[in-house]
Formats: sequence, C-alpha cells, structure tokens
Amino acid sequence: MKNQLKTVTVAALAILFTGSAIAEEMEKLELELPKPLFAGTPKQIRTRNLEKPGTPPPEIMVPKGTVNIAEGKEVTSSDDFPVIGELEYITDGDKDGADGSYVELGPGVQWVQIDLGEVKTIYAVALWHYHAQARAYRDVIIQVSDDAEFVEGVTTIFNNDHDNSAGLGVGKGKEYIETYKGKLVDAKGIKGQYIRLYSNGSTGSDMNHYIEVEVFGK
Amino acid sequence: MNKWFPLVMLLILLAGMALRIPRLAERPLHHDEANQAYRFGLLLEDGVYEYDADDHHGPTLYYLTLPVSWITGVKTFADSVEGTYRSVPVVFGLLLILAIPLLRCGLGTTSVCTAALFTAISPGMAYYSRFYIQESLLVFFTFMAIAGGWRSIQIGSRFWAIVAGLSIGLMFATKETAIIAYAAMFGAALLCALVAHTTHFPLKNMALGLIFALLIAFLLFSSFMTNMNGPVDAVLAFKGYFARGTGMDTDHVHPWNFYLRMLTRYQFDGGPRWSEGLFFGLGLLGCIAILRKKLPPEIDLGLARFIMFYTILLTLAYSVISYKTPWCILSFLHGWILLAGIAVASILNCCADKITIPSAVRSVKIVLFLLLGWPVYKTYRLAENTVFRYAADYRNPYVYAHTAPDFKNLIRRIDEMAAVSPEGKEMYVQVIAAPDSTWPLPFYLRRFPNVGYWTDATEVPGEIKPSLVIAGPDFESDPEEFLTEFYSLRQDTLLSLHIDRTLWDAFIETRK
Repeated sequence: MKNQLKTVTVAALAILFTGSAIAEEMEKLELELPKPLFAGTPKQIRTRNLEKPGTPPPEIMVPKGTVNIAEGKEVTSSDDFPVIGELEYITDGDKDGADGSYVELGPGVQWVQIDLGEVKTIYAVALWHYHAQARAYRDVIIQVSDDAEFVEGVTTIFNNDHDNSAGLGVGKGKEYIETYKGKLVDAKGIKGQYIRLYSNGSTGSDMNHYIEVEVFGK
Repeated sequence: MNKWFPLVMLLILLAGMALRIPRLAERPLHHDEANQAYRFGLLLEDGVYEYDADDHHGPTLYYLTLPVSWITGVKTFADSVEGTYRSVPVVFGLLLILAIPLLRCGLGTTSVCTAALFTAISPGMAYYSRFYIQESLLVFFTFMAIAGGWRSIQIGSRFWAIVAGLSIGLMFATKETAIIAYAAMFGAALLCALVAHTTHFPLKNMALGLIFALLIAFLLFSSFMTNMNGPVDAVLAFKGYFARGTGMDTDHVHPWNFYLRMLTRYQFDGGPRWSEGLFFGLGLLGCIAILRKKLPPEIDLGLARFIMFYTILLTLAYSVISYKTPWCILSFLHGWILLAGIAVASILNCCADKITIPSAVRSVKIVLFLLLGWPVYKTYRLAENTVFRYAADYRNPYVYAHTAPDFKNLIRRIDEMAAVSPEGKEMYVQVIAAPDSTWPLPFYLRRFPNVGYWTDATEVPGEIKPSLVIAGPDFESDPEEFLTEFYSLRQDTLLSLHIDRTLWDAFIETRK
C-alpha cells in the first residue's frame, strides 16, 4: 500500500513538473512595444496631388473599333440637385481635376447612371472621381442593366464594398487611391443599355464626386 | 448702463459659452492636441513633467489640466476624453471675457462691454478656446498682465502689482512667444512715454511684480523644484525658437500677409469667406480716435495709447517673423478687439457731442447699436460655422494641418474589430508610420494596451502576427492574410488599416 502511495506520489509530481515545463514552453511571447515618438506640428499641405503611385491599370484586350460610347450621353443621378457642378460633366470628355470639372453629389450612398441609348457591348469602364488630392472613395460599385430602374437583369462588374455598408452585397474589389489615371475596370463584353456607378463618400468627406466616366464598347 | 452692466456681461458670457462648450468631442483631436494630451497623461500617471526645450512649450497647460482631471475623476490617461483636455482652454476663453471689465476704470463701460462681446463672438477666439493648445491661456495671462499693471499704476496697489507679475511669469511658463508680447509691451510703454513726455516708474511695485514673475516661472519650469535643469533649458530653448522665427528648421514659413488675410478676408478652394474684419476695421477707427484724441471722458488716453501701440507692434512683429501658425493670431487679435471697443465708445461719444437735444442722443445711440447689430450677428454666425460645421475643414483659416473627420471612421473600425476579437482591446496592434503621421493615434488608442509604434517596417518583430496594422498608404501587407482599407489622417495624408482576415470574417458575420 505504502509502495503504491509512493508510486502515485512520484507519478503525480512527475506529471506536475512535466506540465510546468510544457506550460513554460507555451508561455505567451511578450513583445516590448515601442512608445510613440513625439513630433512638432505637422506641415500644412495645400498642394495638388496628381501623381500618387498606384497599381498599374489592368491590360484589357478589346475588339478593333471599340470607342467611348458614353461621351455626350445623358446622365441621371440619385441626387437631382448636385451641390457643385452639373451631371453633364461626367460625360463631357473633360478629365481635369480642377474646379469646374467635377460634380459633387450629396453625402452617403449616391449613384450616377448613364443611358447609352441602346443595348451595347461593353468591354471596359474607366472612371475618375476626384484627383486633386489623395482620396479613396468608399463602396465603389459599377452595375450594368437593360432596366433603367436596375431592378431586373443587373450585373455587377466591380464592387469594393467589402463590409456591405452600401447594402448591395459584399464586394471583392479593393479600395484604391484616386489619381489622374482614374480606375479602369474590365467589363468582359457584357451587354446592356444602362451603367450605374455607386459611391459612399470618401476619405476626404461624406460627399461624392465624379469628374468623368468612359464606357468602352460597340 | 451701469445698472444693466451685470446683466449685459451675463448675456455676453452666455454667447461665449454657446460657442465654446457644446460638441467639444466632435472634432477629432489635432496632432498637437493629442501630443499634449499624451504628455499630460505622463504627468497624471507618473507625476512626471519635464520641460522640453525643443517643442511642446511651457508647463502651465499640463499643470492646469490637473484640476480638471481631479474634478472629473480622471485617474489615468485611459480614463480621459477629449472634453478633459478641451475644457481647459474653454475655461480660460471664458475667463478672458469675464476679465475684460478689469479695465472698466480705464476704458469705460461701453468699451469693455463691446470688447467682451467681440471676444465672445470672434471666430478665432471661439475656435482656439476649444483647442487644447497654449494660446487661450497665453492671451488670458497677457490680458491679466496689462490689466494688473494698469490697475497697479493707477492706484499704486501692491496686490495688482503681484497679479501683473504672476501673469507675466505665467505668460512665459505658457509659451516662449511671450517674449514677443514683452517686447511689444516695452515698446508700447516707451512710445507712450515719448508721446506724453512723461514717465512714471513705480519702482517698488515693479520690483515686487518682477519677483513674483520670476518665482512662478521658476517653480513651474523646475517642475516644482524637482527638475532644476528646467529653468536653464527654458532660457536655452530660445536658441531653437529664434532659428525657427527666422524660418530655419521649420515647415511653417508663410508670407508676411498671412495674418492680415485672416484679419480682413480669407477664402480658400471655393470655401466660405472668413474675416475678423469687424474687429480689425473698428480697431483701425479706434486708432484714429486715439491719435485724434477724440475719446470719451471715461477712456484714459494713456491706456488707450498703450493698447494701440502694443497691438500694432505685436501685429507687425508676428507678420515679420517667418514662422507662422494661425493660432498665433490670437495675441494681437485681442488687441484689435480692445481697440474696436474703444472705437464703438468713441463713435457713440462723438454723436452725443454733436447732438444738443438730450432725448435725440439716446435715439441715435440706439440706432448705432442696431446698425452694429447686423455685423455682430453675421460674425456670430460665422463663429458658429467656424467651431461646428467647418471645425476640421481645410478651407477654414484656423484649421491647420488638422486631423480629417474621416479619421474617426478609422477609430470606429478599430473599435468594431476589438468588439469581435477574442482578445478585445488587448489585441495586438502595430502602428508603422513616421511620427508626424502617427498622431493623434496614441490618444485614440489609449485604451488598447498592446499597441507598438514603429517608424520603419523593417524593425517590426515578426514573432507574433498582429490583429491590425496601421501604416502609411504605401505599406503592403499580404492580401491573403490581411484586408486593407484606407482612411484619411489629414488632407493629403492617408493611413491604411490592415485587418487580419480571421478578424474581418468574424466582423462580416455580425453584418449578415
């Protein structure tokens, strides 16, 4: 009985020591985290930023004779009375970033819609929101449809609303910083008469801006 | 007017409070505000303050935040909120309004009421009375130095000599630019003596004031006798500050008319128009009245002259100095406001002099007050827009390298991630950014104990995968491991937030 007790005690101690050793091995690694460095008042920047480096645009192969079929086409919007500018600016061919080239829509989720006049084959869409300063626009969604109300037959060709804050579904596209190069999206030859582009403010403000939208197709 | 004086001052104070107290936490903390809040946190938690000769100015702001923390029950940096800090300048902004009647015996009731009203509604005064920097304290102590000095000279009072002395010392212990005000005061006193052909030196009271000025400054710079290098550093600091004043080693070089534009007419990038023109324009009329000696009998010509010379010299000095930041306008803007008060009293007096029918005098005064009512109302509305609607808008002239409103979306997202993280606020966060792209993060992440700050991505240890990485927009994370979002830190300065995919997926689940 005594021997058994001894054996059990030795075994228990051995387990305890081994357990301790394992516990030591599993100890949480504590990093010594550096503190923030102090700095004086940052520089006040009020300059234009037209050449922010970014991901190169995708190479899209299109049939010969593909042109911008959105130029001069009618534009409608969820905001009928833009704060600044006119909706016509979006298809007027002017991609300049200066004042007088962009239209400013109200805050929150807003859209602009281009009527191509008839069903067309669309190979690519290029858009410029605002590139006078570094900004990333939120919930950029591009949809194509034959239905002017975008109720039926809607195809999404780009969506970077990763948290579904616009309520049109989670998108896999990435946010990007606006530059003068704009954003080029592959439409893969989809057919449709209407193009609708959504946004939900930007890192700059709650407002939505559009300089130009080009739709390449036939 | 005399029996209505307390009521008028109360109404003016209410107007000042309406522009200073509401929605204090709405505007994100500026880089400098967060920097100073963090330094206060070190004083609060460790009881340590050491004067920094390179930056961050004097000790008064930090020590005067302590009573606020005691009253509000803030025991740690993590307990504090924006209001803990911003209530300090709010108090001094309101004290400045209440202190103006100290000059009633030298400027008269009309002048001090008008100056108090203008101080309350000035867009610049209101804006920086909600900003956790030294400026509103400096302007208050400067005014108290002038008021105390004046009262001491008038009645030979030792008490007011001590008040003036303490205020002069506190000016220096607040911000090094106090010496520009000292120089303007000295120059103004000299010009007054030259113009009046008389000098008056109450040497005993001046010596008493000087002793108290040195005493309070020494106590504060030495961190109450615990850091004897502090007072020496406070003097040696001028080497760096003089260099900056001439435009060396600083990004804040602006043209000579930088402040003049803010005083007269300012508009940027299609934004609204700003102006302190009501005070500047009337202030110029006040100068004319002083030069022509067309002042009401209750205004002391000597005091009025001193304020005029002091204001002009200070405006010139700040305009000549290359280093300019918009909050420096406050020192001489208040001078123009006092001169505007003198102008209004002088115009009313001028009308009263020319009208012989006593009943008509009152009517003319009422008409003049009504005429003044419209620009006063417009200025009040402008001040409202300045402190609320455009509080962080880069087109606002008082907004300088300010944190963008979008920055609060970044903080909201970090809180959302903490809410779904098994570690909660103890999750590991890496901040990889230059110091000028880091602030005000340390304030907003004050309740996250496991945040590390690096300036170089190559120095970040790789043993533990962070839940979040906050970095500049050029920082690239593995898209398989992290989801990236962009947020604005300041106009033209973006931050990227890299969120661990596992955490992100848990967050998206909550949205379904």
